[in-house]
Order: sequence, then structure tokens, then C-alpha cells
Amino acid sequence: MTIAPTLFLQVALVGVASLLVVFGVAVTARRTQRSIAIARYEKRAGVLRPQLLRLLAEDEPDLSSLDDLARADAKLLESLVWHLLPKVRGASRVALVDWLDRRGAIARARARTHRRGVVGRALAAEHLGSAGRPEATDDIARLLNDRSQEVRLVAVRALGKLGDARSVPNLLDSLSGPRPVPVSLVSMAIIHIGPAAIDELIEGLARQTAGARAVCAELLGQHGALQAAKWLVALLESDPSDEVRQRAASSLGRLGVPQGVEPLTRAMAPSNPERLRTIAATALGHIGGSNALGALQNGIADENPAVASACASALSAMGEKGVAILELVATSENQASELASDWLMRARKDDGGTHFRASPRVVTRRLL
Amino acid sequence: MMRVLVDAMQNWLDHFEWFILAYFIILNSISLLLTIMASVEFAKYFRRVPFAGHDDVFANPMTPGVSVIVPAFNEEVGIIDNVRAMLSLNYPLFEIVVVDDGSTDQTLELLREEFDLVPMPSRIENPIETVGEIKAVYAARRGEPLVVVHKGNAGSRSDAINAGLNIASMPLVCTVDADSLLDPDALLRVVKPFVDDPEHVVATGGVVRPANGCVVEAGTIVEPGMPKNWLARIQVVEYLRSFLLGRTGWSAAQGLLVISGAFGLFRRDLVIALGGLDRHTMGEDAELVAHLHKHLRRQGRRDYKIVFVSEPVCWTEVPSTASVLARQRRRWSRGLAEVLWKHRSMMFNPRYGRIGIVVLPYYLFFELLGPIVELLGVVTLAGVVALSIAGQVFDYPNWLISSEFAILFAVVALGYGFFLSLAALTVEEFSYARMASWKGLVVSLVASVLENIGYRQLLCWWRFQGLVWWLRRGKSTWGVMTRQGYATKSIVVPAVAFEDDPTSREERVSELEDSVQ
Repeated sequence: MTIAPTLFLQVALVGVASLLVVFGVAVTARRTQRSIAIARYEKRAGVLRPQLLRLLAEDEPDLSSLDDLARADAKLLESLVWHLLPKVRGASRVALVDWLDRRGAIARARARTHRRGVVGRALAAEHLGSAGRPEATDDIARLLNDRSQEVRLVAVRALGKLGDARSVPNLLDSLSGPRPVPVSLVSMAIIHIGPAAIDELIEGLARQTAGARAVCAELLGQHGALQAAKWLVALLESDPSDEVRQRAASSLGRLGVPQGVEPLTRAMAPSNPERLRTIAATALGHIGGSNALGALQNGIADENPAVASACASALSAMGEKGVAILELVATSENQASELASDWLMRARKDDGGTHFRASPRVVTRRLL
Repeated sequence: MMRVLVDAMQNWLDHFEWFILAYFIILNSISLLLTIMASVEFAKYFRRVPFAGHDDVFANPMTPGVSVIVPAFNEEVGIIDNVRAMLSLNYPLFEIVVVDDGSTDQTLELLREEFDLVPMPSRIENPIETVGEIKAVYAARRGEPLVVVHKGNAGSRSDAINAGLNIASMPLVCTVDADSLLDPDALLRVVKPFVDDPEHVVATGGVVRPANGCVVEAGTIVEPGMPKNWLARIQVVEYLRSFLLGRTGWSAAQGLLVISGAFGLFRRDLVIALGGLDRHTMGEDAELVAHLHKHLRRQGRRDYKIVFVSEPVCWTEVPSTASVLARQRRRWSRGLAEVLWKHRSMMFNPRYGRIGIVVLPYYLFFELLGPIVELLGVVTLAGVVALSIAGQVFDYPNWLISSEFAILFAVVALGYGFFLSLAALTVEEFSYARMASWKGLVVSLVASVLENIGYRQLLCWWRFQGLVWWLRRGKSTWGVMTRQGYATKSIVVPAVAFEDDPTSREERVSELEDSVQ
């Protein structure tokens, strides 16, 4: 035996024993402290919350009486108000924001967007987004270039909640560059902004980056911007990016405009990528009409099984006329008859008036 | 003769003590480091809750869809409640794909009746080859996002999941055990990393916690609790220490190797590119993650992320009898051996970054071979103590020389193990604090002592058996676990769940014994 290991173990034993005591005490202390803190919070919030809600329940909420309560427990009351803010609408929301503004809480939040800590900046953006004050747009937009990805993501969501269409160019800019943010979050933010964003989105169709054009094309369809149809047709026909063309095709289908039928039919040509062709088939199904039916009837016999399947799927979802075409193809003696029979079976799974939804695979193709 | 034995033992200890001390220091330093990293992650996580934006994930129409794949074999007891609970998940776009893996009970019939299933044309693209024949594919007539695949049993959970992968239609796939209970927001939580960083995140794993003793209502945990059975109680602490803290720590270090098969989320295109789950390994969940690392590194990608989500989202019954636990741990050990062997080319290979240089060697030396060292230590300690007693009896002081080190070492090792368990409890107490009652806390403290005295040594033995099982290339068998399931009204999950199936018990035990011994 050597002395060193034993000595080490003796020291280690003392260390481990000490740690056990420390952690044992820590667990017990934490449990006790949390129980007390929760009880205290419930007691204080139990007084403030009902009063706050009672005031908000008025037709024209007047929160001036909250100032008296704030003298006693300002921090907790402000925290309750910030917490409540995203959950209320209309006059109550306006009253809460005005109250925060009067107390200087919004100005403090704007100042906190310059904080050194990530959490401080992110929380400030979150609060400003909930408050929805347009004067905070630039403060939050600045955070789209923040060094922290977390802050950038919160800023994107906050701009969506704030709802100022002036921020759309900033949001589109944030898709590219050295610190990009995910497309899905930017799209969501612009959807939140609503129809006010349509003009900016149409302008965005001319952007240099394909990612931004694709988002604009997609969102114009989501917003139901009929005035954008001609621009979407132009993108579908001539954009160099396949992604942009696919989004344009999808949006034309979503808009349901007859002027989309011809370019979508052309997009189904075999020279185009498979993905674009299937999206175009689905879009034609959404638009409907005799020309679309004809294009889909031709498409069901396509050599590419994905395209043929998309055409059959689109027909099955088009109601009686689509089903009639499927029946016609199913009874014919060509290679498409089996596929048409399958989709006919899915379309006819009605029993006692219960509508049978197409398989999840089909649903997904429509949604994605 | 006795003195020769003592001198031999002395000589052995002189060499062994340095080895075991170094081993002890490295292993526990890594464990401590992982615990510290996990604690930092938790602290960061809780500070960010106010602006995490989970509601936005739900409201976003661009949130990626998820196919939840549920392999089910003889799950008639709980399948309906569990599928109903899964259909109620808070998530904007998902489908449940139940793969009935040739059940011999009423699993399929119950599903067919409950959800009014109708056959749908099974013209499915099969990017992954499956062994069990696909007999039928059903959809719910009333429109629930449910697909049920009826396939022949191939004796492999992976084969069932692969069949589910073939029919899954969403870009993300989530594998869930049929007996697992998910929190209503489970998908929102595990998808969040994909939403925040879709370019880099390729897989996420949710934390799995023992459901024994919890109050369950309509397939959802409504009140976490402590099981009545001590074996299950110890596993509650073990899951905290080993899975929650360990995996959170590895995830923070970008070195996550295991995502539990009970709840993992993957990009479907990547899993398809890998050819699905390996049917020939019992550790198919770890194998999939190791394979992902290998695949992405070989493609030159270094910026991908595999993330562990520490928020409690998935609950599962843990074994409450020694025989079932033993079988489970033998299987895990064998599975790990298979994974490490299959991906041995990654070991110590700088091409695979920290996975090759740190993570895989860690799993080899401390997870797979750890039981050998630990059992050797236990045997040595027992020998030393025996000789010490003999020394006192025969008045030969030299016999006592090494016992001081050995006993001291054992005390420190056990104390340190207890400290790690206590650290896990402390982190839990400072973070999620799911154990609401003081009684539960006290029970956890006692369980963390018991985990290190008795339980841990038993696990070592079972893990060692698993290693031998693999070395002997024994037949792979999952065995059958009959579960009690969950009632639709509030009940406490009984501690007697996971009892063996009496009809096949003897057969399975003898099969295992044949392969292990």
C-alpha cells in the first residue's frame, strides 16, 4: 500500500461528506423557501389580481385606482400586468398599455433593449411586442441583428405581435445575412401583422434573395391577396428559383383565381421539376373549373407517379365533377385506371353521411 | 498457504489501487461535469421561460408537421386510452401512426372498433425495407389523424418503426412507446428546437420519467407521485441522475449519443437516408443517433445539433420487479455493446469530432466496461475484508495493511455516488420540482442511498450479464412485458405493473439463461 492514495481518499471522504451536508441543507432550504415564497406570492397576488380583473371587466376600464395599489407593491403589480397583457384584447388591452406607459414601464422596456444581458434584451422585446406600441418598432427591429440568436428570435415574434407593417422589410432582411433567422418564424410574424403587410409583400417579390421572394409569394397566398395574382403568375413563369416558383404556384391555388389555371397547367409540363408539377396539380384542384379538370384528367396518366397521384388526389377533392372524371378513368383500360380506382375508393368512403377524410398523407400534401 | 494468499492479494492491491483510483477520478469527474453543465442548462432554461414562445409554436401554420409512430405489440390494456391521449396533443399538425406489430391479443380489434377504422389503399412507397408483411393499412373514418398499420411480427421493434416511417407523411417523426404517457404539450416542447433552428437541428429527445405512482387521468399524468415499490422509487432517482442530468449535460456538450426510444423526434428524410432503424440491434435508439452522427460527419457537416429537451414530457412505467428490471438492463447493456461494435470505426477517430474522441470512448470504458471494474472492486473489497477478519483471528498484522485503502475507497465511492444522486435531487428541486410533497422528498433521499448500496451493484451484475450475452452472441429477445395499463378515470398507477406474462415466463427465463450463461 502507498500513502498517497489513502491520503487522497481521506481528503475525498471529508470533501464528499461536506458536499452531502451542503446539498442536503440546500434541498431542504430550497423546499422551505419555495413554499414560503409561493404562499407569499399567492397572498399578495390574491389581493391584486381580482382587483385588476374587476377593473378590466368594465366597459371602459379606468386603471387610475391601480396607482394606489402600485404604491404598496409596484413590482408585483407591473409583473401581473405584463403577464396579463398578451391575454386580453380591445379596451382592456389599451387600458393596460396606457397604465404601463404612464408608469414609465414601456420607456424602461425600450431602454432595456440595450442591456448587456441576453435575458434582459429578450424580455424587453417580448414586453414591447405585447404592448404593441408603434414607437417601439425600431427598438425591436434593431434586435433582429442582435448577436444572440435567442434575442433575434424573440424580436421576430415581437414584431409580429406589435403588428406594424413598417417592420416587414426588416423581417425580410433578417432572412439572409450573417445572422439569419428561420423562415417559419418570419412568416408567422408577417402573418400576425395581417393584411397591412400586403403592399410590403408585393414589393418584396422583387427582392434579390430567393428566400425573401419565396416567403413573400407564400404569404400573399396566405393573406388571400387577390391583387397579387398577376405578380405571382409572373414569378411562376419566370423566376429562376424553383422554390419561388413552387410557392407562387401554391399561392395561386390558395387564391383560387382563374387566371392561374393556364400558367399552372404549363407548370405541370414534364420539363419542370417534380415538386413544382405536383404542387401545380394540387393548386389546379383548389381553383377548379373545367380547364383545371381537363388538365388534371390528362395529368392522372402522367408517367411520373407522384404527379399522377397528385392529380388523382386533386380530382378526388373536387367534388362530384372530380369524382366523375375519376370514374371515367377508372373504367378505362389504361395504366391510370388502378390509380383512379384507389382515389375513387378514398373519395367514396362516405357512410351514413359521415365524411371520410382522405388519408393523412393526402392531407399533408395539401397543407405543406 | 494463507500467507502466500495474503501476499498475492497484497501484490494485486498495490497495482489495482492506482488503476481503480484513476478510473474512479475520471468517471466521477465526468459525472460531476455533466451535472454542472446540466445545472447551467436548467438555469438558462428557466430564465428564458417568459419569452420561450411555446404558444407561438402552436399558432404558427409553418410549424413542421409530426408523425407520431407508435409500435404496439399486445397492448390491448392501454392502447385505446393512450391513442386517445395522443390524439389530444396540443400541436397544430400531426398524425398518429400506430403499427400493430402482429399482436396476438385484441389490440387491432379494439382500435378498429373504437376509431371506426376503414382499410385504405396501401399503395405506399416503401423507402425502407421491412421484414414483417404489411397486411393492411387503416384510416379513421371520422377523420381523426390516425393511421393504423397491421403488419406481421418480425420480432423487432425497429421493423415496426420502419413500417411506420414508410407510411409517415410528415417531415418530422416521433417515436413513442405504446405504453408511454405524453404531456399534452409534449410535441410543442420537443419541436421547439426544430422551429428555432431548423437548419441545424436534426433530432431531439424528450426526457422520460417513471410514471409509477403518478395519478393518471385519460392517458395523461395529472399529478406526479412516488411509487410505493422501492425498486421503482430507486429508479425515479436513477432516471433523474442518469437520464435527466446526464443527457442534458451531454446535449449541452453537443455529445448526445442516446435518445430514448420511448420519446424521440427525428427528421424523417434523414432517418430514411440512413435506411431506417437497425433491425439487428437491441439498442436501436442509440444506434440511430450514432448512425446520424456518422452520416452527418461523413457528409462534412459539423454544425448539426442533436438536442435533449429536459422539460418533463414523457412518462413510462418502469419495472417494479427484479426479474423484469434485470432483463431490461441486460438488454440495454447488450444493445450498447452492439452499437459500439457496429460503429467501432468512429472510436478515437478525429473525423467524428467529440463523438469519436470523447463520447464513444466514454460509453465504452465507463458504461459498457464499467460493470467489470465495479464488480472487480466489489470482489476485491469482499476479499480484503475477509482477510482482515482472518488477520485479526490469526494475529497477522500485515493482513490488515490493504484493508484500510479498500474500505476507505469503498466508503468514498459510495459517498460520491450518493452525492451525485443528491446533486440530481437538488437540481430537480431548484428546477422542475415535480415532487410536491415533503414525504416524496424524504423517500427520494432514502432511495438515493439505496441506489448506491445494493441497487447499483445489482445493476452492475445485470449489465455484466448483458455484456456476456452479447459476447456469446446469444439470441436477441425482447421478452414480453404485460402491462397493467392506465384507466380512464383517476387512478394511481400500481406498483405491480410490468409483471411477467405467466404463460411465457418459463420459456423466456430459460431462453435468457441459456444465452447469458
